[in-house]
Amino acid sequence: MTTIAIWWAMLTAAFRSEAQYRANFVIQLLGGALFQGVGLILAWLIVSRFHSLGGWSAAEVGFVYGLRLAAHGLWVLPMGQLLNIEVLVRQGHFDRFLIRPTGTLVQVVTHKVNIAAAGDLVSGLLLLSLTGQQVLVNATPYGVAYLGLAVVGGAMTEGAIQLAIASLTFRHLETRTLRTTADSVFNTFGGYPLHAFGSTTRLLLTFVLPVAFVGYLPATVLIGRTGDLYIPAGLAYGAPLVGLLLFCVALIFWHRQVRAYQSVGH
Amino acid sequence: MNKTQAYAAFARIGLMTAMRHRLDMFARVLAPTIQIYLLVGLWSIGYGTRSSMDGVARSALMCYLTVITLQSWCLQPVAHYEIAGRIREGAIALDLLRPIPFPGQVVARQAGASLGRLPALMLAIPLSMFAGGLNAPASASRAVLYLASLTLAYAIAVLLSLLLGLASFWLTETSGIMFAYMSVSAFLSGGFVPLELMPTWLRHLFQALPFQASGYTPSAIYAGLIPADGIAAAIAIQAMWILVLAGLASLLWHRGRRVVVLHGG
Repeated sequence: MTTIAIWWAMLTAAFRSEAQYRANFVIQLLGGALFQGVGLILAWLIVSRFHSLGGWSAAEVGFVYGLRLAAHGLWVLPMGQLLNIEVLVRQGHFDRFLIRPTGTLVQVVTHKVNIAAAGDLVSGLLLLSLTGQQVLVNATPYGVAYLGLAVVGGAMTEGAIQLAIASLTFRHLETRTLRTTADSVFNTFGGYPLHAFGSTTRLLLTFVLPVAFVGYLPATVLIGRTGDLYIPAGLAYGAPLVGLLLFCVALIFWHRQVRAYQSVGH
Repeated sequence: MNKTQAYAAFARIGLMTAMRHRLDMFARVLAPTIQIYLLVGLWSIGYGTRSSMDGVARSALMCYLTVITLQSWCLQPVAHYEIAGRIREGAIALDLLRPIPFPGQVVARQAGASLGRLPALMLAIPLSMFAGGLNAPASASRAVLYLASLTLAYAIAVLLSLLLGLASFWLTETSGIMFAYMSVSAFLSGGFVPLELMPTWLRHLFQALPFQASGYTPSAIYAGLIPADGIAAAIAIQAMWILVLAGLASLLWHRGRRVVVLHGG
């Protein structure tokens, strides 16, 4: 509980410090909107040009995209500073985190805050509510609760992958390319009905990089499209659990890798 | 030490930094390959069994996507990150004292960094032929024009990055702009969709901005999307952007060096 209280106190402090550079604050929000706007335009261009994608309508593809976007915002907002890890490690700023009386991960993720992610979360939820009215088959409290779990689970899935890659920084010092590659695969290809891709791609995006568990798999459950699945439907229902599991594994991995940190002296 | 040696030293630093980390080199081979594989997969779904769409042949599109992804991977500028970092840390004070002008230092380091990406690219090219589709250009003259256009595209990409870096002299904290720049430039350089397949409103925006000249133009020449009689005009537009951006960079540099705030470091 104390860890969470510390995390919250530090996160709000980081938020206030970010708001000091007002021009950058506004541009960062705009930048976030533009970044996701670009992904959405690509999806829209392809769906509108070819009328449907893998038999799914524009609203259904929009729903997957919204799910992915909301999950993305939900992991980046509290943990996005992992994307800065190599600067902390290579320039020795990480030393400071080791001598303070709280966990290293909490300090890494709160040393700054990425405001743009709030925009992702809001626009993801907006897209979900806009398309949800048309495509949701099960708009009961259970359905909505599952949707909430799916967003949280998706955030954990994407967060787990990024946390695992960030953990490699302690030994390998430079992991930016790996991280940005994973990030761009989640962002660019996570919002599509994956059954339309070839079988190799589907398996890669499900079991090697678990992109499917963020948007596509829970979406098939919510819009009643589990018939299109290429894996047992049970796995799609369990997507939020998969996220939790992956995140726990990534946490353990972080705590092991942190021991390999070597200070550069400061 | 004469000037040439000094510039070479900066280029060497950029090269060594780019080649330093083995895991990162591995990722650099993998990254464009994955991007190409998925992007080609996505467009293939759209094309379905069609061999052509709005005058764009399927094979030409796949070739275009492969070339532009490889190309932008290799040319990806790092200058703006570097400048912003040096301003934030206060290292800019030392840079400004050095006997060769700061923009020159940045460009030389950038050239080294790009060279450092070549080995990974050599490995990524054969992989991408499997992942995407890579045909030889239609004729030898097209290949030569591609290389010419690619050189200009590189100059434009570096100038844009330098301009963004110089803007940090005024803004101090630029992570927001960097973020916006990365996402928008990838799309507006034609990295996901070529001009031919864009709706009209987007096409106008695309043509009015310099990004297309840093990515779309050479790739479209290579893949044959630009007809032979349109190549000269496309290259002339690239040259025009170089003049405009270089003029702007020189203006920003001469004003910026007077306003830069030195953070203690």
